[in-house]
Amino acid sequence: MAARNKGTHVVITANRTEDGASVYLRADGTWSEKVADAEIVVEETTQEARIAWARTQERYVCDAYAFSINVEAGLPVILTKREEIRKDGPTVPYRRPDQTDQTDQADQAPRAAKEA
Amino acid sequence: MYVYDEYDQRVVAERVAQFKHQVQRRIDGEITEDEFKPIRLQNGLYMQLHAYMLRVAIPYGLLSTKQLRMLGHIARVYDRGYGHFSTRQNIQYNWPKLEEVPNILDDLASVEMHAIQTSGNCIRNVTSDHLAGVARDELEDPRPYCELIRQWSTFHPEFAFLPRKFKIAVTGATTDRAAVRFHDIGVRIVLNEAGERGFEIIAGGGMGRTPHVGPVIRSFLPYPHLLSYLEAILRVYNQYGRRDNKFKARIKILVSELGVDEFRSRVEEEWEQIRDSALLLTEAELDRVRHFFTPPTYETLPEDPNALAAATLSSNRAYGHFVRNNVKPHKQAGYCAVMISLKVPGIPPGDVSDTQMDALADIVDEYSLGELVVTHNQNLCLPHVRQRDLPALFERLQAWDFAAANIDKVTDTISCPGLDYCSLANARSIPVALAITDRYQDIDYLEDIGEVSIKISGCINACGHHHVGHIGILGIDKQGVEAYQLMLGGSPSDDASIGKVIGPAFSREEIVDAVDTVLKTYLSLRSSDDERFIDCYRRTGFQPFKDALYANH
Amino acid sequence: MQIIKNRQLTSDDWRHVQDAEALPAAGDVIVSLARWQSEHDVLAGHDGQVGVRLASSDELGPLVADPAALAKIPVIALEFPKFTDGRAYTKARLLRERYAYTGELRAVGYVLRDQLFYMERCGINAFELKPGKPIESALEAFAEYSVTYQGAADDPRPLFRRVDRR
Repeated sequence: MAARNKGTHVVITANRTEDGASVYLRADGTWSEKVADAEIVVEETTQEARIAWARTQERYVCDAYAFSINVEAGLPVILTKREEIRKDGPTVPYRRPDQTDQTDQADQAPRAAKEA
Repeated sequence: MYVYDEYDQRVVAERVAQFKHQVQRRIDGEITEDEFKPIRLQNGLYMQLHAYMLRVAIPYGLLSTKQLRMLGHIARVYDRGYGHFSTRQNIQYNWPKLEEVPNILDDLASVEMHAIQTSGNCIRNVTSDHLAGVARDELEDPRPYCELIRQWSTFHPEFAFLPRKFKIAVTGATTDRAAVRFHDIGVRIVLNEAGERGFEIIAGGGMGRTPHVGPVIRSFLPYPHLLSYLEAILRVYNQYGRRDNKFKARIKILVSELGVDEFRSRVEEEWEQIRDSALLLTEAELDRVRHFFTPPTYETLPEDPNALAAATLSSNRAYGHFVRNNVKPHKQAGYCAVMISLKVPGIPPGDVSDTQMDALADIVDEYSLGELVVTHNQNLCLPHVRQRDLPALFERLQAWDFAAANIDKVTDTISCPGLDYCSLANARSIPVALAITDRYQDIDYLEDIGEVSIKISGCINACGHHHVGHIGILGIDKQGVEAYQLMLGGSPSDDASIGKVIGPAFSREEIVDAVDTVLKTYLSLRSSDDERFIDCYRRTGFQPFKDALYANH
Repeated sequence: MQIIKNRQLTSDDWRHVQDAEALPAAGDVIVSLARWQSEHDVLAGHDGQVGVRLASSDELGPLVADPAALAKIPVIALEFPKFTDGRAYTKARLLRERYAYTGELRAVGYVLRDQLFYMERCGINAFELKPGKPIESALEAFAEYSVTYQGAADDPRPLFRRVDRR
């Protein structure tokens, strides 16, 4: 459960079953990829009810939990590096740049990997 | 290398069919995530921070070019165009979709690969020496025994739900490049007093929260008993390993809590019951598997002891550095093993793009008899290169960014995925590795510093092996802020030692400067240009380093 | 209750009796190892068969100390308290292969179809599936693999002793 002494409120998050993406629970019960859309939860009882409900939605999401946020101008403010990275993705590059003087090779169709 | 027969092929195909059905039952809601989780873990599928991660097994790190091309294909078609080579000689894909994983497994099966038991509380990938089969100091090729252990452990019905994961490594050389003393079971090929070859069995080594150097459980085991002895160890562990606390569930805790003698006695008592059973390896099976690892047909080439030395003085300075740092001796005259560093500026250690994999496959076909090996250090190795091909090979590698000449140097860091990817992490590790690579780009300076291994983990699970780095860095969470503990003096090899934490943790901004202070301190203290960092540290002790680091704290 | 036994659906009258419960007047019962040891005489006079249930932390020692007594036990239930607790797989193999037990070995507790193949290889021949799980389709689990590498209770020979692989 969220450490409530870190932030003033919580939002509910989970991993999307389809691809593991971080998603956030809206007030209408749907899931968004944007934390800005998330329902800002105040009461502990609401938090528990939301998580219990999320656990019945395993076809869509898994591992639901609540994390602490502050609120500024009505929007959730993330407090930890971890949730920042869940929201924005890795902070390091992952698409490896290919060498520019190899564009000929890069444009060729990849070898049929199943050739006998 | 090992070639599947119809039995091996069926095992993998049937597993894929089973998993396909399990994924469907998960998607349909017939099984819960709690029920699916152990199943998907046994198929190598993790849930990370913001995506799934699929870990594909590369048994003892050995790959054919056909397999490498398929790994590139998978990266391209199912993922985001790259793969990551891990510290256990596997490859990881960070963005697969659940529904597509059975298709990935189908593609892997078509080239005799799989993701079986790369996660979960079962026996994992058997790892080995990246120079297996070609090293000059090799007593015997360990890979047939890796393969025999792999088959014995695959879908072993008794050991699928162990207290915790189980990792086995095998080495056959006088220098241990497989870190056998830091595995749950380490197997070393040795000679007994009668000059016979057999196995030394080590158990209870490991890293993680409580690193242990594994003790020798049996100093000599004849070949045919390999599987029965391992079965005895696993049976004792399965019954008596702790299941009450995830952080005390590895076999190293059991060995430590029982004491080596009591542990050994339980194993030997169990082994007495099964040693002469059907588990005994037959000569036929030993021969069959060894046969797959007979050396390739090398050309008869003259050994020119001066050729490599001359090459290091090439007018092409980059080539000279490359030969000096990345080329290793080979048991066959006129040949060498070539290390490929995956530690280049701006790129996470161990990451390779799909087009790079394709290009590398062509290079390996031409220059390394179609085989390459994934190392423990997030690098690659070409094991069958003719010395006279080195200039041409270098140019080809350079064109694809495979020619960084920093093997075993400061910038040849190991870094786990850390908080950028991993849900277990407390801090990011890749940015620290990248910052180190950025700081030390001058190859002459790197060579001057010489051999230093820096290993970085983002949490106490130690996938970056920080305990056995000459310089180890452990990312921690200090009240929500990333911080880094520095330790010195670890080593994974025969001189096994666990690094010592040097003092209070450093911030992300301070840690690279701290590494720099350590290196400068070494340079000022070393007894000669040839005294390696680790030897200097062991001679002077940690105090001068501690003083230099914390003088102003 | 429906169970799987010897790869078939069958109904079953064995009743698990907890330690705190009184024994029923009659009927086939399964009691814990501790109770089997401590109430030996009472159970000997019971009107019905008596089976033994092993918790995952139980040692086999007391059960196998007297081979004649072991051989008379009609059913031994092996508890799987969690999917991840694998101790009973070893117990099953030892009971079959070391102690030559030929009665019914039954898996109880957290038993999903995904474990059935391994359990059967370890010598378990009866299964009480976790409640709420489809039982008919679980029968398919036994045929999921046509090849096994290693020996176990079903056949002690590793693959290399069963076939010529050259």
